[in-house]
Amino acid sequence: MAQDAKFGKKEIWQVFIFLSVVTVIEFIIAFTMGENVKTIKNILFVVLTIVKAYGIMAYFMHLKFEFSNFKMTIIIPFAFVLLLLIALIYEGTTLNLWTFLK
Amino acid sequence: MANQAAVSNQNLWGGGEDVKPLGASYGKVMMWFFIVSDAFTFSGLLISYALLRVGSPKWANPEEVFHAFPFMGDAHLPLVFVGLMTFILIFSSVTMVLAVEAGHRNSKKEVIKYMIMTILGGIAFLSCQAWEWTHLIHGGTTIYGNPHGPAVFGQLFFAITGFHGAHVTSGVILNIIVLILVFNGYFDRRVQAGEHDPYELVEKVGLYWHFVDLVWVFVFTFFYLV
Repeated sequence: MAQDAKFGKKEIWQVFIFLSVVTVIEFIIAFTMGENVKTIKNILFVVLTIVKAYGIMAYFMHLKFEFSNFKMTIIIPFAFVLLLLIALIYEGTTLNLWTFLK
Repeated sequence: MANQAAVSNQNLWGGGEDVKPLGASYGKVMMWFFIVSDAFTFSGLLISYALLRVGSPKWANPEEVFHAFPFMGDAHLPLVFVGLMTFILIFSSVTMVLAVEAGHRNSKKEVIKYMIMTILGGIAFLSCQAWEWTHLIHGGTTIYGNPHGPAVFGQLFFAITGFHGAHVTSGVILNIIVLILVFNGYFDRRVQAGEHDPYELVEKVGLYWHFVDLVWVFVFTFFYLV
């Protein structure tokens, strides 16, 4: 399969080490950064999680080596997820939900 | 398949037995589509968690809730156990990729070896999750309330990790089925028949397993870190 390019055992372990290192960095951020930089911490966590997700999807799930229009078929629907996330986080801050809960 | 890129648009979408407009086989495309739909389900759960958490005046501190480790009694080891769980799941993902890679080389022995390691990794993760649940419930964090924050924290935690755990369980069962198929020579028959990609089923079930790992990466971030 020509599109497998060069993705043998060595590359697999490289991606694993990359993912482990990113996870360790996340833990270091979790423990060393203080409480008053919480927003920056969270942004870093989300960014690093997306980096890990890219590593898993592109290399382990092989998506990077697939046809371009197939890649788009999978990736573009997540724009809806992003929209929902932004919309509901905004709603969460303005809606007084907690008058209904508990 | 490599010369599909040279085929004109009309031929690509014109139908026919050997034409693959998306470049991958039907089974793989369908598994991906299922994964996208399942990802939407988890996104729905996680986004509602975001909504409820962002709107709440008070929430639990993950480092206080998740500080136990098996066999260490009362030791305060914040987030260590979940770090172990994450590592176990990522490692089982690696062994899964190695199994798929061995399948591409038609190496039956290695496929068996790596599939067994993946299954053991999945069972180890489920055992860890079961211990975590038992410990939390005995400590008072249940779906009815918890000592750390609003009741909805526990409810969301058990709902989302439970849903994820169900996916890990079904993934382990699928992996066991594929392992049995390898033992029974199902893939050997495909190799002998000269199939284009005899071990494709290992790859498809591998996609599902990676999806399970991917979801855990997000659950881990949004429940334990953020």
